[in-house]
Amino acid sequence: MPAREDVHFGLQGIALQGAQGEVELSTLRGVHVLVLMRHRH
Amino acid sequence: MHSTLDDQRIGLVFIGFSPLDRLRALARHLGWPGLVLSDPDRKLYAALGIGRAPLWRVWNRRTLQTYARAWRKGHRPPSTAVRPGGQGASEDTRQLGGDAVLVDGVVVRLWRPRSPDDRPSAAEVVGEAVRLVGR
Repeated sequence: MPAREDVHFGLQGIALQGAQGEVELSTLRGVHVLVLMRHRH
Repeated sequence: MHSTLDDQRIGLVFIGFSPLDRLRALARHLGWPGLVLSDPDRKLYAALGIGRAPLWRVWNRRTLQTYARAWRKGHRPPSTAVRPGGQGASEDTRQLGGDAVLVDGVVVRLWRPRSPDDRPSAAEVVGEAVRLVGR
């Protein structure tokens, strides 16, 4: 299991494609869990 | 992941680098309740330092056992051969995934695996998110 890393950095300028258009990650308020898939399915 | 979370104060974001329609279909299949986002240029992967594993880590013993179990159950991986129109040619099986917790747009917890089967438990990631909500 990978070690948990305690970090602190913003994601300014990273906008990903969502169903309602682009989502700028730095604008998400509150606590979010990001799950990044490992490869295309 | 989502089956271990019943705290409505925490958002779940499912991210991949496939086309959005394919990711949304997979998310529906999994019953994913949160956002689904596509990162075709892998900008977020790069920002989080989540890269590609060397072949010897991708095809390690545990990965092969996982695929063998799936094969015995009748699951077959999609072909990565080039098909007309280029479909199927772009799968990158060496790209690793990862998990992170974001608070007000800032990454505060990060798990970066060394191989495809090296991921934290859903309970660990969700547990961290719950602790951060409670602060």
